[in-house]
Amino acid sequence: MKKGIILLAGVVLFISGMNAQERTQSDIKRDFETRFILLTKNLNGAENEATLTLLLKDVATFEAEFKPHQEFLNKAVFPDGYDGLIDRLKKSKELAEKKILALQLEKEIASLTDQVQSLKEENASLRSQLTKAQAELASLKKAIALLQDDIQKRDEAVFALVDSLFVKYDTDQISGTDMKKLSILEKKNVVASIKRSVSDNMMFLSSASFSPQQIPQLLNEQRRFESSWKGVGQKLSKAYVPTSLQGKEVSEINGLIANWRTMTEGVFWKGLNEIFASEKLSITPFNNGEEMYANIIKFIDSEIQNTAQRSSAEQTIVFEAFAYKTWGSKLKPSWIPVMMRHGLFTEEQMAEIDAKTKTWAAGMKPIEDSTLSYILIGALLIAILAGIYLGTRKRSA
Amino acid sequence: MKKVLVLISIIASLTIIGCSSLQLQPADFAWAAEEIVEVGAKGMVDAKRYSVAFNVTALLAKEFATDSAAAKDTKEIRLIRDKAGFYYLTGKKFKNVYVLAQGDGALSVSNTLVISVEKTMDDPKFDQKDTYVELWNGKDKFQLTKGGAQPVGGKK
Repeated sequence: MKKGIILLAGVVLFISGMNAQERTQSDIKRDFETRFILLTKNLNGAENEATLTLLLKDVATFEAEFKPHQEFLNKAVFPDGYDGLIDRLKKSKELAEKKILALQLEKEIASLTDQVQSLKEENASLRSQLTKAQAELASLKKAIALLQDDIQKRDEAVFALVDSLFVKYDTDQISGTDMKKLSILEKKNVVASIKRSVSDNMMFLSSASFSPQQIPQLLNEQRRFESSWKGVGQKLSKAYVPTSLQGKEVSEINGLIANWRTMTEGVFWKGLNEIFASEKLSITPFNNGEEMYANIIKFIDSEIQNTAQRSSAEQTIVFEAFAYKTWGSKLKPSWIPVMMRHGLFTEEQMAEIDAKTKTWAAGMKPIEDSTLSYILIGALLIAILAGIYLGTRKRSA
Repeated sequence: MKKVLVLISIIASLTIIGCSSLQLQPADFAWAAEEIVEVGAKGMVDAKRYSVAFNVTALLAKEFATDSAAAKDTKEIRLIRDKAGFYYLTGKKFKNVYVLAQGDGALSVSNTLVISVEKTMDDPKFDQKDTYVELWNGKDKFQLTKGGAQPVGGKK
């Protein structure tokens, strides 16, 4: 193709050179025929738009250059003459344009087919990865549950052992018998075990992700451990000389437990904020119970004020997201009881939020008071049952 | 007797008039451009577009009388026909242009137009004009008619 264009250019140059001189009519006829054949050949062989554009220019030049000889060429060029050959060139030009368009479409189709194939393969690979990841996630969740269970069991065992050894401690004095018991403790390396338990719990907190159902339990565990440690730790602090190895470990444990508490609370508040965020409720993030209460009240007040500006459907969506999907079904049954048990939330605060929710519902026509009452009663029942369950567990522990 | 002679004369005159050929005029046999035709192995040339074919062996022998190799080397000739129907034939290394007239199954040399007595032509070309055929030999041009060749510009 390139050769053809170069040749054509050569012919044009040659003929231009010839034009500078005089030409016989036979020369004109021959040039016309030669260039026509070459142009037709090049048009038939054109494979891209750039080549075709150049050739179209050549065709226009060719037509214009021989136009003055039209009458002579119509007689001399047999059988088509000038007019016939120019028509044929135009048809070749149209064919070439269609051919290039078809080639471009073919290329596009081939490229799209490749893309489809590649996406198909990628899709299959992603599906297989997803299946694998789902299996891994399930296995990981199982492992986390097992680990949590094991850590809890070990914590309980360690404190049961310590409790049994300190069962007779009711004074601050350490008698000779008590020292003997402490030496048994040292032999069993209980202090190191407690330290390790705290470290493991912290590592567990920082390395795993938890479902909203697991988080209240984590806070419960941490507080339970801390409370157990408070009794034992004080006794151990008094029993050991502060500079001794055991004495140092006891004060280290105090620091570790404080860190664990901070971490647990971080996870706890983050989890609570995420519950509201997942329902797209515009409650300002909080980091403690007081803030949470204040922000929820602020949110409800704002919603009550905005009822006039929102459609009935929008109001219902926001209300349902708060009253049914978060406060009633998630927070009150599992989070609030834990918070109340550990002094992070009060009965009054809960009652205030319930009352506000009722006021909010009253301002919304579509939801009847009786419906809301049923919902709140249902939520209250769930909360009571959850409280009873958690209380039973605590007592059995 | 006199009357009979007059009658015979009238009949004879009418017969002579009746036998003379009918002519269709005007006629134009001119080719728009010259034809370059190959000389075949047996000396045949064939201007296909005009369905004219004839043998040039005798003509080449005449042109290159003393140089049979030149006759053999002639691979193509140039041919054109004027308005009157006469063919003009020449080629490379020729010194003459031959004017041929169509006969009964043959072409006969009606005239030999001498272009140069000494020099042969390098690249002769014919060009059809209204009243004559033009011969180009390099920069030189000649007006050709069946009767003779005149250099254009009066020179030569």
